[in-house]
Amino acid sequence: MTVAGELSPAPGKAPVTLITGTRKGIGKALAQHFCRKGHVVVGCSRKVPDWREDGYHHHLVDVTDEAAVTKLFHDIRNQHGGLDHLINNAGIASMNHALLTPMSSVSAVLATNLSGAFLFSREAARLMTKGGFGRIVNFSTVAVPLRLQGEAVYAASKAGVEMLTKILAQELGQLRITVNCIGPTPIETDLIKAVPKAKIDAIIARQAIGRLGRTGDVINVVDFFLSRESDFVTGQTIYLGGL
Amino acid sequence: MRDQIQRIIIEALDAQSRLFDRPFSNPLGPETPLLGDKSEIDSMALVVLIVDVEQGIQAEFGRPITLVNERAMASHGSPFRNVASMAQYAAGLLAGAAA
Repeated sequence: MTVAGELSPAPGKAPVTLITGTRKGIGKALAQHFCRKGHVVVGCSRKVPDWREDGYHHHLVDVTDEAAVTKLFHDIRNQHGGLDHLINNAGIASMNHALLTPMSSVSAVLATNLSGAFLFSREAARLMTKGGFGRIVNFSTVAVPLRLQGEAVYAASKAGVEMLTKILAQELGQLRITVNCIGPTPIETDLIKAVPKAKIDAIIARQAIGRLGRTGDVINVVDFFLSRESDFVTGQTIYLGGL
Repeated sequence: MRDQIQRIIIEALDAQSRLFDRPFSNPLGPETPLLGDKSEIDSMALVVLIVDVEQGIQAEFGRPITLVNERAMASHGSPFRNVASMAQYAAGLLAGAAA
């Protein structure tokens, strides 16, 4: 089964882009970027953001709360008529030796990073099937290929996201929905504030290009995945920094 | 309620036929098969149909229902044999959700 003809997003209509975890960091930068590109941007987080932008609509949603997430997608369908792009940015990290990691941390990381990404992808794809067009971008990390000590649970959750990306790409390809993944290097955000500088330096030393990542590096790859011309690119993970 | 749901299913099939540029060889109706050798839709199209019907039911009746569970997806006695059986099954779920 394949979709016939060229479909949405219709020319002249502002694309609708949903981004999770937009209160701060990369999610905030992505939301502001796509607002400024003329998208209707719907964002979500558990707490209220301290910023505003024209074209931005915020929802207070925990990405692990199925009822709240399905309501969010119901609202998107009613208010914006559909969805073109999903960026599964929301994530939490837990950096600790495996022997010292409580199961509460394991559950929380898997629920947010893996189950949340699945739940949003499922609901987004259900909306995207109507238009016969869709882009889903997931977030992994260089901790997966680098097998970083102290990040067993975080990296495992993101390895799961990479496999989710590959299989969803297979399942949704016929519907012209692409699913791809970006694996950023450490970037100056709250997520890495607690990581010792020596550890960050050691990661950078293993990259082909030895510097911290910038939000612009992430935006560049996400722009590529979302573009109409990327309709033959799916199931891929792009790592920043040359890993 | 069942007739309304049957209409939702037929409209979803018709929309899908246009979306995928694959017209049905016979007029759509209660006996239109959705599973088995006589069905003109493949497994992916059935998935999309189920999603469309769930959304259509929520839009028309204001209540979300989930059509798929392991029992429903079993080929023997599946409620997705044809349009009429799917409508009957969905009406039962909807009545249960309202109770």
